[in-house]
Amino acid sequence: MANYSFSRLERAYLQKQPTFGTIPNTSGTASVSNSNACRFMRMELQNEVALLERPDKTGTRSQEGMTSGRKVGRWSIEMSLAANGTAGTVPDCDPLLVATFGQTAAVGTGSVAVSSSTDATPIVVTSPTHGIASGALEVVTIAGHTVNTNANGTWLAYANSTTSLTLIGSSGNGAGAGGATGTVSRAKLTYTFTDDITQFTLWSFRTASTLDQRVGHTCVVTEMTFNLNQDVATWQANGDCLWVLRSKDFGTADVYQAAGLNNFPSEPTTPVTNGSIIPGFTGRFVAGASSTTASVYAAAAVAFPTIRNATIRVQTNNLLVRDTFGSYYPTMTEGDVRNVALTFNIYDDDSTAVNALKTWGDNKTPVDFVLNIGTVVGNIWIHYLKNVYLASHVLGDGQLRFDASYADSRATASSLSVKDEYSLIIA
Amino acid sequence: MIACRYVGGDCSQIGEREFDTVGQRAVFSEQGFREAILGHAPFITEEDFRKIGFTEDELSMYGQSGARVDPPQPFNDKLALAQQTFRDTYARMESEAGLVLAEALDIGA
Repeated sequence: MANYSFSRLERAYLQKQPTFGTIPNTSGTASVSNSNACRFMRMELQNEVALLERPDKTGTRSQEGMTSGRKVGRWSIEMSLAANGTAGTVPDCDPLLVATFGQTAAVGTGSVAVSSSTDATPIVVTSPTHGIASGALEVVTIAGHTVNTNANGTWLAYANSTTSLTLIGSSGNGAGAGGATGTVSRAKLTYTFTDDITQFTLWSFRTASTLDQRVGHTCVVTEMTFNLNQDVATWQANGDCLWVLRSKDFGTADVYQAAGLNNFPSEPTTPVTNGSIIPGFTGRFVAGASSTTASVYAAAAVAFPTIRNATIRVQTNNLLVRDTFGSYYPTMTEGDVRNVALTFNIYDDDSTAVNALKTWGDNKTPVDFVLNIGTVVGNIWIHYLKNVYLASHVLGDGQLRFDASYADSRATASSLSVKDEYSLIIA
Repeated sequence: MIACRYVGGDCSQIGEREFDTVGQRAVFSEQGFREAILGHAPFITEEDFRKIGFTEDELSMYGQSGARVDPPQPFNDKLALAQQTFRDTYARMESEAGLVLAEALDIGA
């Protein structure tokens, strides 16, 4: 009797793939291991093989037989937003993020004690030399601060000096200055764009092991999407891959499909995964008009507590070249202009801040956004979008309170050299 | 076999076993330890853990990630040191793994 499979009995393994068209291997044996495991919710791996039909007239209306044309694969995956839980350590989904940004994350380290804080808007924290260059912006985490407890959390901070930081979007709650308690930590990962395109390998192993197992190789990330204000925070990504190789067909796979393997591996036996889910409705939404002077942005940006939902869509437009003469398969990568867009919806009110959003949208004033998803250190995802040109808002009366929607507002780089339209920080 | 302690800020799963408490014990084969570290599961060796000097009281009060509320600075400092030890171990092992892969693929490391 044939074995069937429960859909939950599937595991994914992600590997960075240094070489185009070659699954990571040692002498033909795949190097996929327990350390590559990554939890996920849904995954699709499928091949697309064009059909070539003879276009000539036949004298009848019947179609004669066809032949196979160019070959490529597609992949998509959806998973909970889950970092490692230990700040400065990459998440299980790191190969996906590296393929999105084109390079590995910068790892931030170091921590100093807090000396004091101001009960003001925004809060200014003083410390011994914190290590951030004066005038620079950087994400920091304040923990264990007493009295002025609103300072605790993960913030985009502006370095007023070598010993002073403005926590952007914060508002003090301490009677008088906060005490000399707590720490300022720079432990985090920062993913930023390059124009390079890197690949990864995506494995799907199912139970029973006698079932067809799959691997999509030479995968590039074409698009990824993050959502704010879900119950459980999730994200999705998709793109091209060179081919989806099936274990049952390994014996007849050609060299492009087998991608350097001599055999299809069995699933590693003791997968290692890390991190917890994030309640997707926890975090912070901060915005302020963009400024070439960081101190101006730091002083003006405010938190918007009545945000309803938000979506960040990152279209890398990384693709595989599908039209090389002499090849049925993609032969290299290619990329078009990146498109990072923010869509959000906020309850309407008569506050200065909410009105400012509308004015920025109508006047096309660029805006910088800092969206935190999560509040537990080690599992906070900070989306930093710069120079966002807001769409004009649409006032909605489809629910009990009026809201204002801003659709597909595009982030842009401060200059062509810095490629800073979007950074993802995990702290 | 390598005796280890968990020093993560959240939780890790290795096979069907869950780790969510600083100081939680595990014993791995050499290969299992390597795969845990390369899988970013924050473990350090028993010897390194002892050197850091967590007290039993600290571990019982603040060890479990889900129940950790405002731990005192000495605990945070020790945890940061333990996690840096893990990161150093990871960096060393990743470098070794990269060299092995580079040799197999005959590319520069």
